[in-house]
Amino acid sequence: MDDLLGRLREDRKVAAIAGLVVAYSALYWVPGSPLPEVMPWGVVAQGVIFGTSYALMAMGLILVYRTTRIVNFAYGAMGSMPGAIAVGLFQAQGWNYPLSIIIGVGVGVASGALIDVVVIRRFANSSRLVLTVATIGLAQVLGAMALIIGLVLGLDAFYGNIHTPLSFKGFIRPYPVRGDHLLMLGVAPVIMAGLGWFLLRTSSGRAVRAAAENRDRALLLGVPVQRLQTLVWALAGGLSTVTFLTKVPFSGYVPDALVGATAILPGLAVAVIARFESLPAALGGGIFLGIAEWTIRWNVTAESIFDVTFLVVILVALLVRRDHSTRAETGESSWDAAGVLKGIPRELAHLREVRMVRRGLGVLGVLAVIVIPLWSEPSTVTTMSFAAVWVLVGMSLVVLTGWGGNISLGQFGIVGVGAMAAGNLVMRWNVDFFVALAFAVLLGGVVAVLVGLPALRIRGLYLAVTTIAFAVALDSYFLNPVNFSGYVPGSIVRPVLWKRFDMESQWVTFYFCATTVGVAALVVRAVRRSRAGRAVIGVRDNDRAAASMAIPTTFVKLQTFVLSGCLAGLAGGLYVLVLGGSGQGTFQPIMSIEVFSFAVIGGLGSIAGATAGVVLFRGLDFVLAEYATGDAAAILRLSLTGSGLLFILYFLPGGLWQFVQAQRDRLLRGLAKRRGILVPSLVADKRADDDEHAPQDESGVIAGALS
Amino acid sequence: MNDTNGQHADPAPTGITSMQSLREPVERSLLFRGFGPLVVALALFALMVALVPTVAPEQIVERPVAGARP
Repeated sequence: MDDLLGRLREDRKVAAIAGLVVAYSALYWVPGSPLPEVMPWGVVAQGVIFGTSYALMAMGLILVYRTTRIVNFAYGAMGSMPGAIAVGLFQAQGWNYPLSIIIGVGVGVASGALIDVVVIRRFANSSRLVLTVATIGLAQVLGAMALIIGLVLGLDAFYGNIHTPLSFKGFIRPYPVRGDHLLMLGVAPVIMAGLGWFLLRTSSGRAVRAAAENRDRALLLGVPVQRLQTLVWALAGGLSTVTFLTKVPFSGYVPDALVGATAILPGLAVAVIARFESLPAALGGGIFLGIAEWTIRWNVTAESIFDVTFLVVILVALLVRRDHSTRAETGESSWDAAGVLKGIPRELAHLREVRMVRRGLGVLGVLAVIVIPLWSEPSTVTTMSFAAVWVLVGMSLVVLTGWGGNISLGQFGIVGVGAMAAGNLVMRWNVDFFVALAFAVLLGGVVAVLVGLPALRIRGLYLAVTTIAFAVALDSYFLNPVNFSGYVPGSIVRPVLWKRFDMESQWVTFYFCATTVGVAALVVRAVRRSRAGRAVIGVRDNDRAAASMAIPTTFVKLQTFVLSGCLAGLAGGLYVLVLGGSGQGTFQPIMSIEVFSFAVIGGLGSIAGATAGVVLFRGLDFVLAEYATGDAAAILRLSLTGSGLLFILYFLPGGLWQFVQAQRDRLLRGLAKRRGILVPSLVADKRADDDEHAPQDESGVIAGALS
Repeated sequence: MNDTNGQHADPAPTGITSMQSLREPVERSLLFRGFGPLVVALALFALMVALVPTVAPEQIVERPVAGARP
């Protein structure tokens, strides 16, 4: 048995044949298998055709990954923005079809190059985590631009049935085959051959691969790394546009912010199968996934089951993968060192003024939380309760990203699980709400293990991929009342807290949520100060060094995600209480991306920063809802969060809280100077040009302190 | 017995050495091996659930039986 497994691992041909045998056997036993006599060839043909589209998407992702070693979450939006121009010109303005396509692809190529010059190059010295987050911001900005283009060109949303001049009509039972199908089928192999030729046969392609492997060495050898990177991003822009335009006759055009990150889910699944490396594997994987999807569509009546397929494929592909990290793939996780927020220096923390200000601010904060709701309308209080729940989700991201250096783009998926658990327990069995909350916390942790383990056992930011797949599957399949009619807690009767305070009152609910958030913050702070918290930071900053100190790095990463999942589960329990139920659409995948953006803008280095970011943007949402609706509101939201994210990542990697802390440090420096106390950490952080009279070295500091 | 420097090594120490004292189990006065606060918290939680439960008020829903005569 070991021999056979060993041979399978060593010999790719044997592994491929074994895979085919297993796949054939599995399909044979599936009721209504895709064998010709059971399932029509037309279904397989549709799978192959749409699979090539997934392969195309994956090829663009792989191309960027091989150059910059990041998962480009803006890839979908890089195609949908120029695609909106092409479709708008053809569909709404009546332009010639080939001309519209050429203009669209041209804009795609140009915008790809522009994105590299304007955005990606700015982050050349940042960690890959920061650059990955920048692509999330970029996706939102491009999403807003696509919405604006749609409005300008008069392009309304439509679902499928766009009539292109490709007039071929055929039929493979039970589906028709049109010219658009053939175009889609033909484009992928041609592009794959072109990309393969470029990467393997041309000197530019070789230089691209060299720069991806070791950027500094390539620069030393005279490779024009920046120019090549621009070329790759231009190619990726064109490729994404082509993918969008070949799909649009079938999928239709829906101007939607979701295009930003969740629409590339099939592409991500295929890219994971191809290990973000091999283009032929991407083509094979795409076709496999396409056939699997259409087989399931043909055999299973459940709605959105293919979203679960993508999730399962991604999890399995990551589980069977061994950690073959190259030198180029190390060091991806460090959150920018400039973004690490520090507490008040020990030398000053005990001073009377400092203690009084800290206590005063704390008391003011608590008073604000207590008093403001008393003067607010019930609807405003409900909004505040929602904000409290979002703060809890933001806190879970501080643990995961701020401390652990990993990204979750599906945190609201785990919130949804918590809500389902707590909602069902309360709705069906009228269980004590605290027990329901505890169960939601527990389930959040279990989900974190299931979704996190496959991704965290290997290097790379794959957790973002698995979590986004989970969030999409949860919203479209698991929370779908058609699939689980009895298990979606549509509405619950709110409990009476300790037999005394009825939670039907918005105020009681708010104070309960706020207290829970406060307790959770204390627990999180305690964990951060413990040995476990220090281990998490150590693994984030240098996992090899941490491993050499006998810290089990994978276990620590998983622990971090479990704590984060528990907090998200708790948030789910509270969410169902505030909303009075939940269902499909309650936990949309875009919410996970939004809360992530808010927390980064506020400052993921500290709980206070993330809280400030979430509260600020939820407040902005509340104000915006008064003045803007529909597309205008969506454009404003996407522009604000997307551009805010990029701005913050570039200028203030520690978020807005970094700015607040800089002002605090300025005051503390003044205090230290007045009191004649030497505080090396404050002096070390100070820019030399901040103060002309600043001591230039340590002896000067000591002399100043003694004088 | 020579050590790696070729010099004569000290004879093996006898009696209670510092290493042995480190190996001896330390007497701990922790309740439930340090998990005392957790146990107390769980006990308090159970008491709260038992004595002052946070549950929805019972509602009596009257529904006409299908096919019943008025």
